[in-house]
Amino acid sequence: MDILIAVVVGLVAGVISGMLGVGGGTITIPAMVLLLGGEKHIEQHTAQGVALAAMMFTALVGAFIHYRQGNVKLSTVFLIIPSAVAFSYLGAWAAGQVSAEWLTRAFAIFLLLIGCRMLLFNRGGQGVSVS
Amino acid sequence: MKSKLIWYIATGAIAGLAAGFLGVGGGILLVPMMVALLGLTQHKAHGTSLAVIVPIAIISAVVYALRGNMNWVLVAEIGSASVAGSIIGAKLMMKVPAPRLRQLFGVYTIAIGIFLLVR
Repeated sequence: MDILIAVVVGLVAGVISGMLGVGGGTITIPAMVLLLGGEKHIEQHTAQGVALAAMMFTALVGAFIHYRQGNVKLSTVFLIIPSAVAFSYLGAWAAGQVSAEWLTRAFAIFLLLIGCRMLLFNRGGQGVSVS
Repeated sequence: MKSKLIWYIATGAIAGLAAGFLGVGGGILLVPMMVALLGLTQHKAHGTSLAVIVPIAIISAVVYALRGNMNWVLVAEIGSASVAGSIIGAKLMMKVPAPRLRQLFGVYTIAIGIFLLVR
C-alpha cells in the first residue's frame, strides 16, 4: 500500500512542479509525514532527507531540459553555487539540531508564508521548472 | 547594482539555508530572487534555479543520509515518479492557466501548514 501512495505522491508532486516550477518538497514532505509509514512512521527529518534526495534527480533532469533550451545562465550558476552549497550544508546541519516537532513547526510556517505569497502575488505567466 | 557579487552570495545563502533546513528545493525562493536581485528573466531564472538546486540537493541529502535521516526505498519510489510527473507536467503546462494553478497551490500549502501546526 505504501509503495502505491509513494508513487502517486511522487507523480502529483512531479506534475505540479513541472507546471509551476515549485512544489517538490512542499508536496512530498507533508505527504510522507501524514500518509506514509503506518507502523513505521516517517518523521520530519527523514521526510526532508528523502525529498532532498529525490530532488537531486528531478532538478538534474529539469536543469538538463532547460539547458538544452538555452534557459540556464551558467555564469549565474557558478556565482551562486559557492554560497548556496556552504549555506545548504549549514541548514542541513542545523536541521539535525532541532527536534522533529520543532522542525515540523518551522516547515508549517514556511508553507503558510509560501501559500500567502502564492495567493497575494499571483501574476500571469506560466511556470517552467521542476524544482 | 543588479549584478553585485553580494547579491549572488545573498541569493545562494538564503536559498541554501532554507533548502538544507526545511528540505525544499529553494526554487520557490531562488526564482523571485534571481529576477529581482540578479536581473534574470523569469524563463532564465527557472532554468538557472534548477541548475543551482542540483548541488544544493546533493550536499543536503548527503548530510541527512550521514545522520541516518534517509529512506532510499522511498527515494527510488518518489524520485522516479516525480521525474515522470515533471515531464508530464511540463507538457501540460501550456494547457492549464498558471494563475489558477498557483491559487490552488496557495490554498493547499496554507491548509497543510495550518493542519501541521494544530495536529
